[in-house]
Amino acid sequence: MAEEAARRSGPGRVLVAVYGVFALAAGSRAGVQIATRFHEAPVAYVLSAFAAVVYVLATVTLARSGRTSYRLAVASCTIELIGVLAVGTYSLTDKAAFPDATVWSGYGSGYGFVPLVLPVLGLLWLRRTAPR
Amino acid sequence: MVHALAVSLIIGVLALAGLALVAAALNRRVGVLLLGAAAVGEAGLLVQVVWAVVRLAGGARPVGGMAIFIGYLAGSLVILPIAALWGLGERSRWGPVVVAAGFLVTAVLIVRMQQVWHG
Repeated sequence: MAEEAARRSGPGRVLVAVYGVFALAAGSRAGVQIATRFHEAPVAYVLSAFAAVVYVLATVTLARSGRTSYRLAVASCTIELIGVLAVGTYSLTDKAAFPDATVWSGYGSGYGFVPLVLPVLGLLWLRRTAPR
Repeated sequence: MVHALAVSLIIGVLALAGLALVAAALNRRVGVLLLGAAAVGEAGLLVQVVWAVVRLAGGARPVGGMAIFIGYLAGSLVILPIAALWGLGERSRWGPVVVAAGFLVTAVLIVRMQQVWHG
């Protein structure tokens, strides 16, 4: 299972680290938003929380070995890519629905577009380390 | 928060990120040099935390919100130790890349902390 062990080593090590940071960042942001001003933009804040959950899932499944983790990692990276594209587009067309930014608003522009690049790199890496 | 301290810290951690990237380019693993660099960065962040606690105790308040500021303050202390350990576990050039990422994230945290402090 050389491919299995390889998922979290080399570039995968960096990927897990950056995912960990985003799990922390999105989670804290969602926590503060929901705890202090949920009524202002419930849709945006629920999306923030959802993004945080996906980042946590991606971090854990990228770091763990096994087929199930692999599938979940692919799923979470895919959801993320769809999420950042959908929320990014929606946040630009309907600014009123997003008075306060989420990690995915403006395609992740508030986070140096890393949220847009990360799932692409994640999926490419998962493809390279796919279990046979 | 004292602006000069934050600026020096940002320049410092960016320089250390550069050092880590050079180590990666030279195909080095995480060793004494980068662990020392992380320790130096962490020491600088501790100075910032002490300074912030002194200012807060003196009645100063972050314009952007106390809870968020405390969150960034606490977050700034955990990033480098975790990055150093996670990078140490990788016995290739990607270890230093992890450490470099830790320094870059730290720089962003300091900038955000400044924004929250000044509103």
